[in-house]
Amino acid sequence: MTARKHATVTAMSSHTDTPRVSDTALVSPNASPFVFATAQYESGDWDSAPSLAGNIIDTIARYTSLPVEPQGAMVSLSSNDALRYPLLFLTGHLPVRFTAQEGQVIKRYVERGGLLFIDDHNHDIDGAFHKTATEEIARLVGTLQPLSNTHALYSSFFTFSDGPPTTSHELNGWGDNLVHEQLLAVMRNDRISVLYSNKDYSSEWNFHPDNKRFMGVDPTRFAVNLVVYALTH
Amino acid sequence: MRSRIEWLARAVALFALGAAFWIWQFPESAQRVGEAVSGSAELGSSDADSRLGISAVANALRASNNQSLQLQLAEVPESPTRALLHAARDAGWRVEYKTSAVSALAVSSTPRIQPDGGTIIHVAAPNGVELTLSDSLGWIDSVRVSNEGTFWEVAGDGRAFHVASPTASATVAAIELDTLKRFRLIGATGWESRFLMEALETAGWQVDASFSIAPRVSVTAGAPAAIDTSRYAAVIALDSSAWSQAAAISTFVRRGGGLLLFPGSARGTAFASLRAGGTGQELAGIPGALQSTVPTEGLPLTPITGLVEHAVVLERSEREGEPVAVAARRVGAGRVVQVGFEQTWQWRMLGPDDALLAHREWWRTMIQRVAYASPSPVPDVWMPLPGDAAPLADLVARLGSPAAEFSEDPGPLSPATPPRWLFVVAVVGLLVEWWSRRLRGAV
Repeated sequence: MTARKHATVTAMSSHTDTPRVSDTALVSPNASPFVFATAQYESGDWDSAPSLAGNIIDTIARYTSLPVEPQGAMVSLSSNDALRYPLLFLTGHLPVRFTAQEGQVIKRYVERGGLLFIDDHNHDIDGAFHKTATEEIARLVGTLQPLSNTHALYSSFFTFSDGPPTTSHELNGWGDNLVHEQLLAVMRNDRISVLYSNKDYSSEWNFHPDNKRFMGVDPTRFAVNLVVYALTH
Repeated sequence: MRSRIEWLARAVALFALGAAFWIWQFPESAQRVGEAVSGSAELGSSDADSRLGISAVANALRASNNQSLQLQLAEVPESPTRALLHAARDAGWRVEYKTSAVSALAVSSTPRIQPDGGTIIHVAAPNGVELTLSDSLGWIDSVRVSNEGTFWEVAGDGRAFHVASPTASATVAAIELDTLKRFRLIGATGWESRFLMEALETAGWQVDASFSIAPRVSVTAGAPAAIDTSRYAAVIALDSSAWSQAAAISTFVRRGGGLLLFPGSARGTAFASLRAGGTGQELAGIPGALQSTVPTEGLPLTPITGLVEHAVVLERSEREGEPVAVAARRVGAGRVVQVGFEQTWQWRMLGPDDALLAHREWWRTMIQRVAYASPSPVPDVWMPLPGDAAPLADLVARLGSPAAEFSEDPGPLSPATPPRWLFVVAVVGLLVEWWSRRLRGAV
């Protein structure tokens, strides 16, 4: 894939919620709905953010006209069914060791164009999840490299001019006061195959959607960029 | 006495001229009356003669005194040799040849409509013959023929390709097309459009698309512009998003553009004048078929029904009733391919080990079937000598068809040249007659 795609009308900046306007027609009703899928794996705690999926589905429906399934999916990484979902979310706190079958599926998933988004629910850079997950990805797919903060991911819908949005957990949660400047990624053909975050979006996005009305800035907007990027790049 | 000598001289001169005229007009009779006839020269029947050179032919022409040459060819002679044989034939020699050991080749080329250009070279040749393909840079490939022929698909630019068997060869020019490298995708945001773009971009195509993400918000790929044959080779209409541009697409197709219609866009009336047929009831994919050798059977299929006149079926499904899965038709100067399969991205993700490449190849083939390309003039392929593009055809054109059997009594076919001494006798006779009359003072 080339890097020629760009959001001509990247809608909203991180501080403005009004999309800029283009003359595009409405979404066709005949596109298959997007399904937000969470990956299950045998080691660790894959289900550590149970409210996240519903919140992200709400966000997509709230900001876009993309058809989206109201229910997310949970899919085992040891099954080829994972290949039915070209965008997969994986999270956890505990050490991750993929089984041989899970490793094969992850390799095939990435080779065929899937995008695996891994978030470290510990939001640290030397924790058990971080160490083991990055080792496993390096073993199966390739070494994670810092992703430029000007990458198309940060302007595919909302504009995040400083790169990945920070989370409250980075700034003052758990006492490490560590802000991670960049996300990590494995690229294939100029496209993100594996996106890795130490931001702890799993904690930041793990709340009931109704609570968004109490927030000045919706912290889940970056998820829209992720979904739009996966669907258009 | 002197008068008798003069009459005798006149008679000798007239006889000599008459004999020369007789030999010229009736050579067979002349031979019967005593002209020496030797055996014809045969070349090429031994291993030493397997490569028939110009010197061998020249020697044979000198050695043969009955103006006949019989050639048992193990391979087609080169251009200078063919030219010499042609000259000998035009000079009255009987030139016969057999080519039973020569494998004839028929070669043609068609352009490959892809962004990186290329040529498809078709060859007809007897089974079992080993063929080599080369261009000006050297050998490209070799293959043993089966099914009476083969073909090569050569990417990139090339002016001429040379196909050779152990006994014959042929050269074919590559027809270059001015292929537009861009197509317009019209469809909703989704995995189908995303993986379609990936497949065709990998093949070198540039994609112009606009994906609606939210009301009045879109993400674009490339730089979508007005649909016109000066800009796009084809339009891919994935779904009903294309209905609003049906009029522009219709004009585009009638002017030579290509159109790929999928069930979502073929339904309804917007493309009724362009589609190859109607759309039937959607059939679910066969469970497990995505992992089979025919993965497309695992995809949802909207059969193409009621084909319009002159539409052709390109692919049928193996599902009950063998419904039409892909059909094509011409509209004006353009072509339309209607596809019944949906969600082909599932083939790529869930198919067998080769699914990624097979999915890309399938899309590449689909767009090749419709893509608009303006032909450039056929290039002048530089040939070192005339007739080298098809040496065997050149030989037949120069010498006629090969003989099934050689003539047993080959003789000159054209009027023979009378012996020179007849003219000498005639001249001497006339000089004697003239000298005698001058000596006796007669006028």
